Amino acid sequence: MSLPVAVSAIARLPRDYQVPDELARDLRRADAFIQMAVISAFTAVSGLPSGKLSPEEVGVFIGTAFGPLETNFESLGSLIDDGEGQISPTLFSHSVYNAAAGYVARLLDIRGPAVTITNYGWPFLVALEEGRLAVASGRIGRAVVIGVETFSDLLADAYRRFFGVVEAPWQRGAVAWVLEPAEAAKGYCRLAGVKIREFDAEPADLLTRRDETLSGPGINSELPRQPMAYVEALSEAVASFGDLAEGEITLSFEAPFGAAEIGLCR
Amino acid sequence: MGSGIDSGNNSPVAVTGMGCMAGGGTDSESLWANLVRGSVNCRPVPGYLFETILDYPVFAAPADCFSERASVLTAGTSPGFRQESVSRTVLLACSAAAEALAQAGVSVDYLRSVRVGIVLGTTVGCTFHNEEYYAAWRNGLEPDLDPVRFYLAGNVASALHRILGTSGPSAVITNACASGTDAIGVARNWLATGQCDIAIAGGADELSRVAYNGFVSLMLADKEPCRPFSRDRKGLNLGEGAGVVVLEREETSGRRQCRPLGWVRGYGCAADAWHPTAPHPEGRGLKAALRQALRDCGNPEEIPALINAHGTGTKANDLAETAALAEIFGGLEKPPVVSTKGITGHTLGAAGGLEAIFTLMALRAGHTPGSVGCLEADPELSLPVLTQNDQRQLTGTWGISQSLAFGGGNSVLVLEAAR
Repeated sequence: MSLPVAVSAIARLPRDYQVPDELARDLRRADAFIQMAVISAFTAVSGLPSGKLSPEEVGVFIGTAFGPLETNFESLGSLIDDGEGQISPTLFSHSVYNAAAGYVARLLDIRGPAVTITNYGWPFLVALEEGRLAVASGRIGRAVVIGVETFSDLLADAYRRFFGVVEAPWQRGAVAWVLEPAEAAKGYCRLAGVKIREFDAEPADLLTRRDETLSGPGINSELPRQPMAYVEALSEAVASFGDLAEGEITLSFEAPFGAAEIGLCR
Repeated sequence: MGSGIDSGNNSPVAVTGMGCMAGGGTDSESLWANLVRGSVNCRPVPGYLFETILDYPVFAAPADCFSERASVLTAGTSPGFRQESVSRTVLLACSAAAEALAQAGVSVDYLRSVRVGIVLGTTVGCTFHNEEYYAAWRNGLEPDLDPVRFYLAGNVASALHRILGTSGPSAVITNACASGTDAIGVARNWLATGQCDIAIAGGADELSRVAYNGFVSLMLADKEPCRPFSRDRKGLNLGEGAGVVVLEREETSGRRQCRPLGWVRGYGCAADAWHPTAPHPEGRGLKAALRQALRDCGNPEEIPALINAHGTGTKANDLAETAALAEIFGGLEKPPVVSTKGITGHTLGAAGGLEAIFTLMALRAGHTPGSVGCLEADPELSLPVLTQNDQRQLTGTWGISQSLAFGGGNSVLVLEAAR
């Protein structure tokens, strides 16, 4: 079985996001990585009809390059400062990469697959393809796909030194897409598939993202050199899909570390 | 097939190679032999891993965890390869992959002529845990950037592609303790939907001081060798290792005249939606994952010949896990349930890979050892389990390998052995 899959919602979290009142209590101990993932997912699904999907027919797929790295560093700091056996249990459990998927599942009552994918190139695209395959196979009726990165002082410092710049243009961000079977969805467009090729590259390029571009009909842009730029640019392109050509189109990312193609159609 | 299960709507995906590296053995045969013998290599944290004042034992792989097979393989694929250029997690993965590829009879030339999917699960393997760099940076210094380069080059799936010189899709699954199981499930789906021609899948994880301290802080670690399902169990022991399988569509392996070792028949993955670290007490997500995996292989009427449980040895896990199994397999006939963590420790992202391999090895052998470390089963468990001295002949060819994870993740593989 291979069902056509549509993008039915996209939510981009503002950089100065506020925790919604209805989530405030549950997110009071959560780190920024978890908060951003949850709020973007919550926003993406909140405008959709609840339909007849059971919690087990909805899945969450998170793609991230650096995960809850700041929480990892806090754990490391606690180990250095406080000594062994003293790491806060909450801090440690939140430093695990799938902690955000667990929170999203719990707070949105998602009981289908919960998968976190880590990749320094285009992790959101890998997660998007996993979500698409899950919906296309009929295993689930809705996939919430999240791209999320927090700000890391340590990596921003490495970025500055790798690139020889005074300020790293690093910005945190989160974007959530909802994928559903095309016949059930009212949304932006169909997602035909994602193909990614990785190239052997200088490791620093994965951080500084020099020469990363997005091209497609009417689009030919070099992206801002920060880890969420490709997710945001892709989301913007898909949201304005009505302005693009009829039929199937391909959006392409290129960078020193690889190339990716995203097939979309009306 | 005669086993009552099939691949549902999916193309049959064969397991053609299996490879391991862990504290309990440096390849799949030695691990299996130690499991059968009940030979436990649980010891204080060796100095070559990290220094600690804590006295919680672990299952550590050898200091030199890069096997001879891996050396030979990389000499052919990547002549300039230096072990120091990658993390211990990548070295563990290389060793397991080298054994699996050798067993599958896959040549480097062949690998480079097809689309190779690499899906590996890890937890520690994706984090930055260089304490020296972090401490210096935090103190306002500008330490040499090599540790950051090392971290950025350390994505275990990308690194394996780079070392093997292969191309194709890659993913690192970071679903905590279920990562390895999910990696095999994802690879199965990739093959079934034509995303790649051959897949290298499983999990790899090294021991780290942060994870070691984290589990101690959570009061989930035991100061003695772990005793999964036991009445007197007190927690888990961390371990490190890698378990990797080679997967191919059956027609592809057939063209290579390679006889399958078994098949991945079903995969299920479901969230508890319950608690950040504790499993749902009735195993809600695990039940959903089990149902999904069984549906995936045509809802067989007979019970599995073996269930290789997550069985960490923590109070909550073992109770929740058997509660879920009792509900799914609650008929008069009960499947044999074991945990193999008494021989490997909890290898986190590697666990699902290692345990899928144990499951297939037991099914192929037609017998299973009991749960090493468990001398008397906890009477509060909802389902009988095999204790250490309770070896069992297996009557069927298919079984289940399952994992539970922090964050409420639950993943299940249905595996069938070729005999």
